Amino acid sequence: MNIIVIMIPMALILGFGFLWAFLWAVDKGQFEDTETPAYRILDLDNKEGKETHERTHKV
Amino acid sequence: MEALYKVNCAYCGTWTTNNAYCCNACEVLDGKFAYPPESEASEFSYLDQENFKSRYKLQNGNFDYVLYVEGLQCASCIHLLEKIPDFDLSVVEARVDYSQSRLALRVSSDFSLANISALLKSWGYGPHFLENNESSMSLQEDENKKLLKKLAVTGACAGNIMLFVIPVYSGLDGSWKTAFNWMSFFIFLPILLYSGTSFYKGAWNSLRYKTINVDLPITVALLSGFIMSTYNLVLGLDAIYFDSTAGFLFLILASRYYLKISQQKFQKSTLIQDLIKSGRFTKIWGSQEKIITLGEIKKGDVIKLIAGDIVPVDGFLLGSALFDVAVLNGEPLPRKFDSKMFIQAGSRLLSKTAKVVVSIDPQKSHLALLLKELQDGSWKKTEFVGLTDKLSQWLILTVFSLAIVFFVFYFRVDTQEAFNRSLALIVLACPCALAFGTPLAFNMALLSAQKKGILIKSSSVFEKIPKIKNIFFDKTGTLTEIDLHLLSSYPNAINFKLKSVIISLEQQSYHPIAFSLRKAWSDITPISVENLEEHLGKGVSGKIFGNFYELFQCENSNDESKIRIELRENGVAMCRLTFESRLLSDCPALIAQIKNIGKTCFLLSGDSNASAKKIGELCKIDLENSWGSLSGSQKRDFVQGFKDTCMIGDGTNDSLALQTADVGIAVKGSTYASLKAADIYFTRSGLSPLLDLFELAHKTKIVLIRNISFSLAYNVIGGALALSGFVNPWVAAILMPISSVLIIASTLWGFR
Repeated sequence: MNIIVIMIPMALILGFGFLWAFLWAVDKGQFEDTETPAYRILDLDNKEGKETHERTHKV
Repeated sequence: MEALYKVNCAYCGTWTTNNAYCCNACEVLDGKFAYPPESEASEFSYLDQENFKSRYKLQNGNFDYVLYVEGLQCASCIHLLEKIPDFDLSVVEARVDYSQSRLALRVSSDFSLANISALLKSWGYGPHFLENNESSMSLQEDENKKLLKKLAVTGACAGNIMLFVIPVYSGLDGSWKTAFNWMSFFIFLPILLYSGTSFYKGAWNSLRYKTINVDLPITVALLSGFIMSTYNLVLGLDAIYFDSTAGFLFLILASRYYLKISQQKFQKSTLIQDLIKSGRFTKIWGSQEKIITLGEIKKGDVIKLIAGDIVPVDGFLLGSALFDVAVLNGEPLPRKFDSKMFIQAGSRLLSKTAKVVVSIDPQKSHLALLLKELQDGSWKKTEFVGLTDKLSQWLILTVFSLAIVFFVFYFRVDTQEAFNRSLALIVLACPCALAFGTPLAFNMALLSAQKKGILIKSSSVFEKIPKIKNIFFDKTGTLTEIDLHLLSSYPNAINFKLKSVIISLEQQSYHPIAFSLRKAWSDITPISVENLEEHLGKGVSGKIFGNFYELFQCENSNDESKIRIELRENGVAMCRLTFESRLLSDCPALIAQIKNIGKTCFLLSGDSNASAKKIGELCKIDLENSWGSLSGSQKRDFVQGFKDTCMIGDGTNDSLALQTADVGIAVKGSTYASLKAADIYFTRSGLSPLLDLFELAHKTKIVLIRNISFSLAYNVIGGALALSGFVNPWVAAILMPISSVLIIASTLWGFR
């Protein structure tokens, strides 16, 4: 049973660590706009990306 | 058929009906970019005046200005707009919110609002700067964040408490059991001290203002659950309910968060409708011009208007001009106003330019008074308390008094059991399901109405619509098209040359006839005309290829609903054209359908009695129910004489009636005053949204009745079981959220 003395604090640290991470993300505004970033990643600015894109779309 | 013309955008690959590119952003990003010419910037130069800058500058936050950008289409638009700093060096950072069509800018000191607007316009977007009070979204976002954080804390704590309780439930005993229970106690503290705070506030307010809200039973359940568990923990007894109390609060917070998000989703999109109003006016003194806001207009100012502008404040005209007064009295034809004539706010200018001397303070103008009257009246409307509100207040009261009475009587038999059963009753029977289910149903109804092009100001109309018996229609703009329609010509076929002459003569005109001709003969391009002259209220004349042409309105038309014009070549009549304001094509069928479901239709028009009767006949509205020559207040009095009324209109002269009716509906293209007065606004043209609205209201009613009967049955049965001791508090705490989930599911299913 003595292992519990270590396991309980570990479980608490893990659980509340993730809670802290989530609260931090909320404060940083990670959940304010959930739609735009999905498009932002599609930026075709780099040449390579654009060529691949054109290839796939011409076929 | 249309799909045949769809192509892939040459840059981003989106399916589009446009040529080559789906939007300008793709064209610009594909390397075809030209800076806007200098002249473009001048159109927006007023934006750089201090009065406008201070109106739009945000006071706090990361960004300085927020714009609503019309025409955001695809990912390329986002990329292009976020690259603005490359094009305009005074912009430090640009950030797009795609779902709201908003662009936020962080700028350096030499930033010009005019340049950025011109740039956006040259890319094909419609830039609208948002006033700093309109972007109060950040306040709402803060609230969302707080709620989300509370939800997260409650969820984490509830989960951990449940983990620590498992060993206790599975038979742990002795000092370890006490240790685990105390751990639950400590993990419950964040919930008690942080997550519950908004409920305490709500409950406190409800006590202070002597109204009843759902926060009260929630607070009682939360606090008594905590106190009783702690009491039992200290005494070493068994009944410890930290886990179920935490779970109860988590589910309540979750449904509250969901409700809030869906509510705001609706509010955001209606806000945007409100702010697309220009609100700028050109003031002239001497040879100077300055662009000012509506609030800056004073008595005695000279305001310059250009074609299409709406007169902001009552005043006297300098020089003569044509005005469209349809919004004020429903008359479709423009009226000519001579110099020094009084002109009412709300009239729309049709001539090229006009100057108006403001004759009274804007606050006292006809329009302002009307708006004020509407505002005062709107208080009466909000007094309407929904059936469900009354019901849930009544339920809370009953449950509380039952619990107290039971406790007092059972107290002597068994203190612990009396407390347990009373608490179980309060937790189980608190009308949370009802309190969440009803707003959720209304929100779903509002959202699906919005998808059908119906904007609704307050959900209370859903409780009124099914009761409607008498429907009043306005004529011009509601049953008939505002634009004139080319009905017939003499001779029947007009050759290309004459058509081209007519189009060329009308090329600079803002008269409704000119618009309808351009629409009817859209394939003809105008040619240049010498000495083109517009004779106000009469017609136009000019020389084409050496011939002198005149296009005049015929004086003697015996049918008031039609107008004729005649083309003369060197004084010889060549052809005649007849126009009328046409009935919307779907009206007669729609009115027949409405009459079929047992409602009475009326027609109220500001136009002449004869044309009102004629349109009424075409729409199959009973002759004795068609009325013409009514002023705004007469329309109101008329509507007031009936019960369970619905008014549908668009003009300023309809606004009083729109407000008086139980349900006021403004159709597409309505004036500001009627939008303000109406409860509902159709963004889709025509009257077909009306049937959708009735259907939706019916659907909402069914869902509400189902929700209410379910929660009543649940509360009565559950309450009886709780009092007779079959349900202990923690089972109640599990059952209560389950009932909420059921109600939410039933609501969502009802609007699938």
